[in-house]
Amino acid sequence: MTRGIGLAVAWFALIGCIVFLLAPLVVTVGVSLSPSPVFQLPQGEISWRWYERLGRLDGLLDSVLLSLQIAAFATAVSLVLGTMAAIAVVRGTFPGRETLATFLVSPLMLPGLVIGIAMLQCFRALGLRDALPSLLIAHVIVVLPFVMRTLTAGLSLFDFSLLDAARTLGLSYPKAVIRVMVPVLAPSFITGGLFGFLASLDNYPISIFLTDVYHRTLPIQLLQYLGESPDPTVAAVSTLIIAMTALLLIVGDRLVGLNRMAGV
Amino acid sequence: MEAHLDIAGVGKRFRQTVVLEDLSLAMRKGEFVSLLGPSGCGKTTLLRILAGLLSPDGGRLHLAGRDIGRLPPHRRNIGVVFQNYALFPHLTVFDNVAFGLRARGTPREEIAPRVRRLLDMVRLGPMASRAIAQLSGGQQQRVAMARALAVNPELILLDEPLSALDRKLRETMQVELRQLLRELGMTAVFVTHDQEEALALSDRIAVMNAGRIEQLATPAEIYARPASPFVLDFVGQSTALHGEVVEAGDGRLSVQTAYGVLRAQGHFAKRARVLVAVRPERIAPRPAPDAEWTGIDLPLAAQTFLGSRRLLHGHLGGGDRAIVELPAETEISGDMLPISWRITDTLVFPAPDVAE
Repeated sequence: MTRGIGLAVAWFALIGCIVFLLAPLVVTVGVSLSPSPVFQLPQGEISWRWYERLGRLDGLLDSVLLSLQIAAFATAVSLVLGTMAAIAVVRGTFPGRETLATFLVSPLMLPGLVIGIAMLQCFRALGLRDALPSLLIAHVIVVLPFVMRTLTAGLSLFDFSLLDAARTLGLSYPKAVIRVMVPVLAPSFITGGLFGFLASLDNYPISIFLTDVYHRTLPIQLLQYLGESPDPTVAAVSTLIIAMTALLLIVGDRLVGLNRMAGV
Repeated sequence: MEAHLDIAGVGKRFRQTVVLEDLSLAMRKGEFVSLLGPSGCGKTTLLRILAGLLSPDGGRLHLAGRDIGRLPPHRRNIGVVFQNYALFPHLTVFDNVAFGLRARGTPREEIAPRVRRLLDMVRLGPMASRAIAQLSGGQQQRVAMARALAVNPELILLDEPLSALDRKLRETMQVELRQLLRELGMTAVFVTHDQEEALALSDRIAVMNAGRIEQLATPAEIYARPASPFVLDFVGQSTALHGEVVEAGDGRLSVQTAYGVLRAQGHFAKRARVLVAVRPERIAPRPAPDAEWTGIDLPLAAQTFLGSRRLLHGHLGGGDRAIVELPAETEISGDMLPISWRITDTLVFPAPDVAE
């Protein structure tokens, strides 16, 4: 009897969570398909007008391209740096390894605002005033913790005698790393890279301090549209982002398995 | 005849610790040599140096007439079976075995038949497309063997390859492994801390201790004529009594022990501290019948029944030990047992510096 009630409560809570998580997404997609110029769910009629407006929206395409470029660059750099740092942390014997590992993951725990202000002051002090390099560097800091976290987890389970085996079987050390370590750690690379990429694409609090008129990342541009002309175009953009994220997650799931991706 | 593998004066130290000390070893083609010793004796270090995964501080390595001392692991043509097998988890059984062939750029059409032949040889033919995680421990061990042998190496190194298997399977695999290597005429260095395994498999055993080879000989010789108290203790069981030489001459000794005077063979000075030892199956449960025999009265502590045999353990003090092996049906009663053995079966060593 008690068990039945407990189970019912658990199910109720689960369904509640799913509704809570999905509702905003459904509303966003709904609004983007509504012909109404204010935020409203479609009343029987569906319209693509807000999607048609996207192409004519001033600066949108630029900001999308900028965000994608920054995310791609930051992810690529972070994968290389993060892998090397993770190897040092997992394989090294120097004192303070644990502290260093925690430090490299700490941007995940610090408020973005704090990092943003700190980076701004730091770049100014160094005389770096250009938006693009500032953004690129700052986003490496956004992505790096994701890569670090998944790779330290992956590497601590990696059996380094696999590299020895590959070498005795006829591969030089660099080739052994590429042919054995990279494929075995692929799930960690994909997971860390994917989440880091999405985090960069989505980042507002750090980017806001470093943009200028010519370099606006997508989230900043969207917020500005929302302030200037609050029509469902923003919902259309959001819907496209949701679709892209879903696609990435599906691809990731096919490659790695969603359980493993979430389990890091 | 020139040695197939020639290790000359190889040493290795990590910071202050000497791991290998001026070690030399020569092997014939097709020979199976075990490196036997406790953990930390340097056997695995030597194996890694042979494979090229670790560079020695000095010394020379020759394999099949080629100086391999400076070659990186991938150019040595030495196969290695690792203790944990180190199979590639992202590849199938087939791809694991084919790995070395592909790494060497073997033509595609040669790879498939060669891999299939090796898999058949280790009785894993039907498993070719399985993932590594789907195999049992014994099957993984055989994949590791096939993978190391696939590239037709000049030498195969086996790092405790059977230690992860349970006892029954291990004994079956020992026989299989030996047969396979013999059929292929493969020269093998086998690292183990299991003396029974070494005795069962090897053409010769190198008993290692503290970075040195204590004795290099056939299993029978190692067992019957251990070169040092360490070898005596590490390989097989033995009765060992400390004593002092009280009479010496003509290669004959009398040794005063805590349990009486024992007679033995050997060349020691009078008053020398020695260790007198004998293997358990050489001992008879009776007083010495004539001058060719010598013995003591043994205070009994415990018996262990092993099916076909019975082991009697002596109750001795002061670093001495006694163990007697008798047929299982022998009836033993009382607390004291007179025991004796042939003088020619007695082993005498200088007493180790540090008493056990």
